[in-house]
Amino acid sequence: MSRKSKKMNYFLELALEAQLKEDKETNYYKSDEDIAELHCFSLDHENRMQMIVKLAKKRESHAKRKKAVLRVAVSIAVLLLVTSASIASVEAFRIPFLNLLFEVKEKSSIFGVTNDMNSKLTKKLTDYEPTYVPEAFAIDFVKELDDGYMIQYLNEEMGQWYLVTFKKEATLVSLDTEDGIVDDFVLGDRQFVKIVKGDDLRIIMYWKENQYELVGNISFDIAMAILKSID
Amino acid sequence: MIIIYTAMIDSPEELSKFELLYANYKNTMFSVAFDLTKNNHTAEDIVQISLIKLIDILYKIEYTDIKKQKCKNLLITITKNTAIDVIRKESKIIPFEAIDPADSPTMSSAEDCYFESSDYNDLIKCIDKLDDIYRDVLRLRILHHLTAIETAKILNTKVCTINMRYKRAKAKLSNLVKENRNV
Repeated sequence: MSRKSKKMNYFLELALEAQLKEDKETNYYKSDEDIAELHCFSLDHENRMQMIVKLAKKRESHAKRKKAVLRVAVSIAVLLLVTSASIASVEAFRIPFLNLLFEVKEKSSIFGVTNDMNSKLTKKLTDYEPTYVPEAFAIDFVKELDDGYMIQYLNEEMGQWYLVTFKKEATLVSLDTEDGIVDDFVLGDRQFVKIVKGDDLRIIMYWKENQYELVGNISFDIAMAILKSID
Repeated sequence: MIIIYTAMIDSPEELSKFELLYANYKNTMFSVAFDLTKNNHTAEDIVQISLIKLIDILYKIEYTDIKKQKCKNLLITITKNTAIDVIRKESKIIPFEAIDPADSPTMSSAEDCYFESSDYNDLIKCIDKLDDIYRDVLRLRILHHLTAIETAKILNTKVCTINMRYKRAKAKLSNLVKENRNV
């Protein structure tokens, strides 16, 4: 509908309403409160009217429910908008909210951790990577070598770390065993050398002509779980 | 929470919109129906049918308008047309559409009609001069904001007839205003 047409309809609406005041038919019939002798409706009519009123109420309540749902939806949308606007504009809200988000990101298994667990090693090396990473540890750095890799994991909160080194062909390693406790043992087809020096632990694993080395300040059990997770 | 809670609460007035309409105009409606049928029983039936028709357009009626002239007129229009329809069916009179004058004067488009504010009083007089069938369509469509389908249901006719009458009503009114101005 054009603007001109809308304007004309509005003008016509006003005229139609004004004309009603002088309308013979509308004035001829009085409203119930102005009628002196009211008609006495039959019992049959009153009974049918009860049904019609029920029908009308049902329709009205349905429309009302629809209206209420719409109102609630609009209210929620407004509430969300106001809250977002407050958080974004008021520093007192914004900083704690952002902190909360970062905290969630650090702790969540959905946010962040999965990304940190991705070493991005080339495909030929991923088969030699440990599949188990202890809780709260994240990759600190990754370095690919000609015949292996080095991955360092870090638990910043606890100040713990460990470095896993892999070499495709086992070589002789000079072991600094001074003041350390050395132990070697075999588990299945894997051969281990364990060196404990103060808080530091070093385990070398020989398996399928490959050499894996784990150095760090984590417990022996966890270190073994990490090495065993290499398939 | 308060906003959501208040959004869910409706005014208790709205619950009884239909009952209020019935309480205010049941005798008015009966009078209209009785004047046309001269029969108590048929008039009561017509009131019931008219009220059933009213349910469909209840959402267009504001609570504040219930006691206004325009609401009274709406109920009179519904009842009158229901009564005409009932009489037509009972006596098998020539259909209402047949007496609808097809040869309307200058069939100018509704868009061409324009009433200037200076014509306002003339316009009111011209509305009064319009035939009932045109005046009813104009009132239902423009004053009560009903759709063509809703208007067709109330006037017991086809939607295309309503659209045609609506255009003709505007054209006729425009011509009447022009004639009035020239006199």
